[in-house]
Amino acid sequence: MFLNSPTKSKSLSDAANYSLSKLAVTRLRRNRLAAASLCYFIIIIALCYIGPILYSLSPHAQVLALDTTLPFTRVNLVEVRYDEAKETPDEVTTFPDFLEVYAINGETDVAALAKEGALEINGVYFKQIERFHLLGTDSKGRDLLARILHGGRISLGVAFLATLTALVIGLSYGTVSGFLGGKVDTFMMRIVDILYALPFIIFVILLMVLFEGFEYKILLVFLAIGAIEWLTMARIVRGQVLHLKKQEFIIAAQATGASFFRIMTKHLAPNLIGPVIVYSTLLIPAVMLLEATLSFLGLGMQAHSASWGTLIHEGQETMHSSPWQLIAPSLFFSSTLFAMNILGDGLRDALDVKSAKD
Amino acid sequence: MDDNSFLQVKDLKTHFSIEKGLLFRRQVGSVKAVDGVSLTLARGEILGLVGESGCGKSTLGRSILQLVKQKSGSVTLDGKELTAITGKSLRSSRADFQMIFQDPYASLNPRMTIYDTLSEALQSHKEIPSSEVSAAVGSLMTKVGLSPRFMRKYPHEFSGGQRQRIAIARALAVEPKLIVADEPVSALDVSIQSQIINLLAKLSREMDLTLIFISHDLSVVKHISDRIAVMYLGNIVEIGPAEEVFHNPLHPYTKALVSAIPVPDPKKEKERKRILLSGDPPSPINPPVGCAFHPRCPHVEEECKKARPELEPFNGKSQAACVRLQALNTNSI
Repeated sequence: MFLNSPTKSKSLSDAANYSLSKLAVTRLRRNRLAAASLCYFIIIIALCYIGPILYSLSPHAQVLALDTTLPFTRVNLVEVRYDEAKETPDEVTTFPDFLEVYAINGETDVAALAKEGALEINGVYFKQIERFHLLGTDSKGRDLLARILHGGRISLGVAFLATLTALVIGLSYGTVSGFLGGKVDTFMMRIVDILYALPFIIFVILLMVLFEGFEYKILLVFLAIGAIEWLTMARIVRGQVLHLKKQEFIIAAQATGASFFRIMTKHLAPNLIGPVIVYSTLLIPAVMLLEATLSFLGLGMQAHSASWGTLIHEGQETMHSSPWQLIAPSLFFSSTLFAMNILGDGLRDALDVKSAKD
Repeated sequence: MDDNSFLQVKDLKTHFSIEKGLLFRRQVGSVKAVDGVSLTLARGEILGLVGESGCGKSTLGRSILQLVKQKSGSVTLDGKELTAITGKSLRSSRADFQMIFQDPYASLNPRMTIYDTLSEALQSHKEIPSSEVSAAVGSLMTKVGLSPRFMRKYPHEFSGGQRQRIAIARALAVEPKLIVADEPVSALDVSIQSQIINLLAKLSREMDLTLIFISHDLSVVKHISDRIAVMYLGNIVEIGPAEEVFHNPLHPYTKALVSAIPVPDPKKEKERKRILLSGDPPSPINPPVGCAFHPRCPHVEEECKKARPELEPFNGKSQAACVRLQALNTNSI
């Protein structure tokens, strides 16, 4: 009999089927550095989004008397409320300031405040609190860690949303261009070339000047980044589609009579996912860097919704007197970028179909 | 005779245009991949189509299956004109003709299991109750010599030969009448090649399939084919019964091809006289005037450069397209 038994191949076992995605996960887990990066990235996300709930210090409340406190400092403060039921204090002040400004009734009241922790003088309510500034405070007396965690939300949020925008536009644009091919493809890609040639920073400055005083500046940053970053995505996707549509399995699907829709969804899209995921992972840190650059130049986020870029910009101004204000946000920022880049590289290795052949 | 013209290809031409220009593309020339091919196949016949790389044999196969649009000419399968139908009706008539591709590593979607691939083909042209799909896939796999227990596996878990069996199973899934196998064994190990060839031969006999077996290797098609057609630069230069083409080649190009096949017997191998062709095949963008083979032909004469020769019958069995057909072959006998 000429039929050979397929059991000959040693890679085949009945028990488990190894889809490419399963293999990719296995390979990613074996890549220690990439797996560690993924864990680190998840921790950073958790810190930024869950952290502020647990770490109750406000990133906005300024205590001018407490400016540039060193890291690991415990301070005693007095909260001032004009209405007792108020959630947030009207003013936060240091003990010496309190003594100077409010302790007009003499020693006894101060002693009482120290003992009981709360006091009322002439309808103004005082409460003694203790604060611990893990990473110190910035030049306006705001807790640095709280600002970093809060800034992380903005940086990561902008990065994810801008990447998503780039993904959606780039994916659809590239797929259409690559699949239709011919004149349409040429025309669409020339548009991309022209947009590529636009000087990005000038484009952003123009945008910012044009919308001076616009309330949702974050949207502008977002628009600016999204408008630039989809170009590369479109090129990558187009290249992939051009390559895939000539693959024999696509022609084979055509030959069996599969519909256009089915070829797109079942044959083209799943094979497109690998490179798109890899590029998106690498796009996130690129976008974060871009946003930080803009913020650093003063074109991005405003002080109230400070991103990591803004914090680094502020820290840089005081780097001689209080270097931790630069070092702390920079460490968060660069370690996150590093982790994302390593993860992207790891994903690229893991999703490489060719290495699945062995 | 009706049965003799199950598949009829008449003066089929497939040209690919070459475009230039940055934004506004204009046609500057065309690659004449298939340039006026005519052939007729009977039901159940196996035709071996040979020729060197770039001679248009794959394009001919794909044009017959309407995967590439022809420039002119007609393809009639079982009385149905394929070049006239388009769109949805073309898609539904694809059940009648299928293709097997050269590279089994590229012709299977790496992200679909064997079950997905085969059930897609099975369900593309007829309704199968979902409870019976699995059994149908299993019987297809058995038919091509694979165990149904592997149906949930992915292509990368199989060897080249096994993948080609899967590709054959996919082609058979729609119960076609015609299969074009485009170099189905050239990507495989020699030891696997004969298995796949035998499988194709067996299946086409069992299912009364008409098969066009494309190869660049004359010895590969020799055993499986009823007839062999030799292509050169977009044209068929010789067609005839397999034995005849192999042992009694008429066209100078076929003679050169046959002489290049090594003989396993060392004594005979020593005596084998190779006809060495000089030069490369001419560009199909700018084919030579007259006989396309004349720049490389050892027997070229002035008249070869004038008009393109048509296929002519010789000694009742084969046909060849050569101006000096009579002169060359009566001399050598």
